[in-house]
Amino acid sequence: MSTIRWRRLLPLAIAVVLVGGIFLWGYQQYTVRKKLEVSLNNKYYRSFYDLLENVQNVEVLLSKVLVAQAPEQDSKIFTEIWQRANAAQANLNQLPLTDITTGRTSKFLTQVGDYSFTLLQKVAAGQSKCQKDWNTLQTLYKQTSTLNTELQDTERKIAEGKLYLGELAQQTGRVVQKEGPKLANGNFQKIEDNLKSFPTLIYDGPFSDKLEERTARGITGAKINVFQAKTRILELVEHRPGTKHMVEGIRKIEGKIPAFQADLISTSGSSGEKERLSVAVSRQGGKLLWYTLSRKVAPNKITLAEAREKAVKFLSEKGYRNITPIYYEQGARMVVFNFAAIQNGVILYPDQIKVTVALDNGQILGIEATDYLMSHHQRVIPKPALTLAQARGKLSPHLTKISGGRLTLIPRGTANEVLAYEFRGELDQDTFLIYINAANGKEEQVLRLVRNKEGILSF
Amino acid sequence: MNKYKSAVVLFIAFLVLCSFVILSNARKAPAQYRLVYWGLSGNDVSRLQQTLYDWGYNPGPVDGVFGNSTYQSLISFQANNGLASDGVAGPATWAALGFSSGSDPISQPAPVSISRGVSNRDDTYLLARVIEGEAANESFTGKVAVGAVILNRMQSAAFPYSLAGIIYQPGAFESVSNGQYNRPLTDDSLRAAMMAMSGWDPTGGALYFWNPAKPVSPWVWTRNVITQIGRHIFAR
Repeated sequence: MSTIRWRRLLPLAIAVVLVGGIFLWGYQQYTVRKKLEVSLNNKYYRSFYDLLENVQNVEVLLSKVLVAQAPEQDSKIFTEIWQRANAAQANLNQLPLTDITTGRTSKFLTQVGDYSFTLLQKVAAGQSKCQKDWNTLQTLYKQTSTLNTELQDTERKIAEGKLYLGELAQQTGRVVQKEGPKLANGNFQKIEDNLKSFPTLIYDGPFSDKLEERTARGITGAKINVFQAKTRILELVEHRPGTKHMVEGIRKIEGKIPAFQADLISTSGSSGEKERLSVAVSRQGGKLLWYTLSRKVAPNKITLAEAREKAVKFLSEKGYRNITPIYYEQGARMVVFNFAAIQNGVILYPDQIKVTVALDNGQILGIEATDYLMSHHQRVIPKPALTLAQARGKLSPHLTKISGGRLTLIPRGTANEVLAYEFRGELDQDTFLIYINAANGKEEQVLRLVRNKEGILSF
Repeated sequence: MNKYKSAVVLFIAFLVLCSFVILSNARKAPAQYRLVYWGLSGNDVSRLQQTLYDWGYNPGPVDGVFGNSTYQSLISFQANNGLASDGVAGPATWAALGFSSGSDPISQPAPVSISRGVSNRDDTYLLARVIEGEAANESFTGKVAVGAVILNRMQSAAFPYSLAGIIYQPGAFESVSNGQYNRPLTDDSLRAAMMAMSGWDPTGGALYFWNPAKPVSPWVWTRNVITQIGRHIFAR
C-alpha cells in the first residue's frame, strides 16, 4: 500500500520541485535584470545632471566674458568655457538618444567650446577680443540660455516623474530607429529644432562650419566621362608581370571630391589567382584618389627598405616624383608609408600620399592621395628671415642631441601654412620634433615621436 | 505508470544535459596555441588544419585529429617557410601561420616595449572590432569604408570627440548594442582598420551608413547619399 502511494507521489513531488526551481530561477533573473536596469538608469541620470550643470556654467561664463576686460580674466574664462562645453557634449552623447535627436545640439556645444579655444589662443598671443568676437559671444550666450531653459524644463518633467530616461533607452532601441523625429518624447527633439534656426558659426577652428566648404586645390583639368575614367583606372593600377585587370563595375561617388569608383578583378597569369581591387579617380582631371586591394598576405619575406623602394618606384611611375618618405607604420604583414611633397627642397607636410605595401612580395596594396589632392598646389615659399643657427637658438635648453634643421611647410589652424625649421631633440628616452617659425622664430609646434616595432608615429 | 516514470527521468536527464551545455558554453578555453604534433586532437589541431587550408595546403578533413595528411602538409609548409621541417607546430610555426605564440595575436595586442605604452594600437583594435561587427561579410573596401565613417565622425562637431565616445554612443552601432562586435577578429578587418586609421576613405567623407534591407529611420534618407559599397549606403 505505502509503496504504491509513494510511487504515485514521486512524480508529483518532482513536478513541485521543478516548478519551484523554475520559479526561483525566474525570480533571480528578474532581480538581476532589475538591478542592472537601475544601475544603467543611474548612469544616464548622472550624465543628464552633469550636462545640466555644465550647460548652466557655460551660460554664466559666457555672460561673464561679455563684461570682462582684462586678458587674464578672458583667458581664465575662455579656458573654463572650453572645458565645460566639451564636458557637456560628452555628457549629452552618453544619453540614450541617437545622433538624429542630438546631432545639432552636440554640434552647438562643440562649436561653443572650439570657438572659445580659438579666442583663448588669440588672447594668449597677446591680442584682445574685438567687437566682432564680442557680438558672436553675445549670440552664443543667448543661444546657450535657450538651451539651458529647455534642459531645465526636461529636468522638471523628470523630477515630477513624467519622464524616465530609461524609457528613452528602450525607445532608442525599438522606436527611434524607425520613427526618428516623430518620437513622442519630443523634449530633446524640441531643443534640437530650436537650435536648427541658429546661424552657422564661422571662425578659424577645426569644427568651424567653413571647413565643410573646402575645395580640392590639387584638382585641375577637364571633366572626364566613364569611358575615359576606365582607361585612366587601368593605367593607374600596379602592373605586375603576368597579371591582367578587368573592370567589373564603375559608379559615381558624390563625396568631397566627386569621383568615379571602379571595382576590378585582377587575374595573375601563372596561377590564375583572382584579386579584387577598388579604384577611385576624380571626375575632374581623372586624378587618382585612392585604391585598395585585398588578398591574403603570407608571412614577411621582404625588408622595410625593400618595401619602401617598391613604394617609391610605384609612385614615380605614376608621376609623383617630388616626394619624400616621412614616416611609416607597420602591422598585419603590411606597412603604410607616408610621403610628403617637396618644393625647392622644402617639405610640404599638408600634401601627403600614403602607400601600403605587402611585406610578403612587395605588392602595392593601396594608395591614398585625397589629402594630397585637397591641398597640393604650387606654393610661394618666402625666404626664411632666420638663419638655421638663429632658429636653433630658440630651442628649449632641456633638449639634448639636437639634430635636423630642414625647412618644412606645416599647417597652422585650418587654412594657414607656415614655413618652419624642423629640429629633432631628445629628453631622457623621449624624442621630439620642434618646429620653429622661419619668419619670426616662434615655436609653432612640438610633436612627440613614438618609435616602436610597428613604426614611427608622431603625436 | 512505468512509462510515466521513465518520461520524468528522461525529462530530468534532459534538464541536466541542458545545464551542462550552458555551463560548458560559458567556460570557453582561452586562446592558447600549444605544441601540436602527430597523434594529438582538439581545437588547436582544427585551427592548424583550417589555417593550412587557407594557405593552400591539403591537411585532410578539418576534424581536429592530427593524422598523416596534416603531418605531410605541415612539413611542406615548414619547408616552404624556412622552418625546421619536423612536423611539430611550435611557436615559430604558429607565428609563420599568422598566430603569435602564447596568445591570439589579433585580439590580444602585444605590449609595446619602448615608448612606455603610447601607441595607437588600442584605437586600431577597437576600430577593427566594430568593422568586424558591422561589415564582416563586406568586401575589403566596404570594411575600410565603415572604418572611415567612424573616423569621419571624430572630425564632425555633431559627434563625440573620442573614438570610444563614438563607438559606445548609445544606439550608434547595432553590433555594439548587441555585442556582436566581440567576435574574434579577422586579419582583413584589422588591415581595414589600419588603412582607415592611415587616412583611406572610400566614402569621400561619409558620416552615416546603413543597410537598406534592414528597417531604418526614414530620416536617414534625407542625408546626401554619396555612394553604395556592397550592402551599405554611405551618406553625409
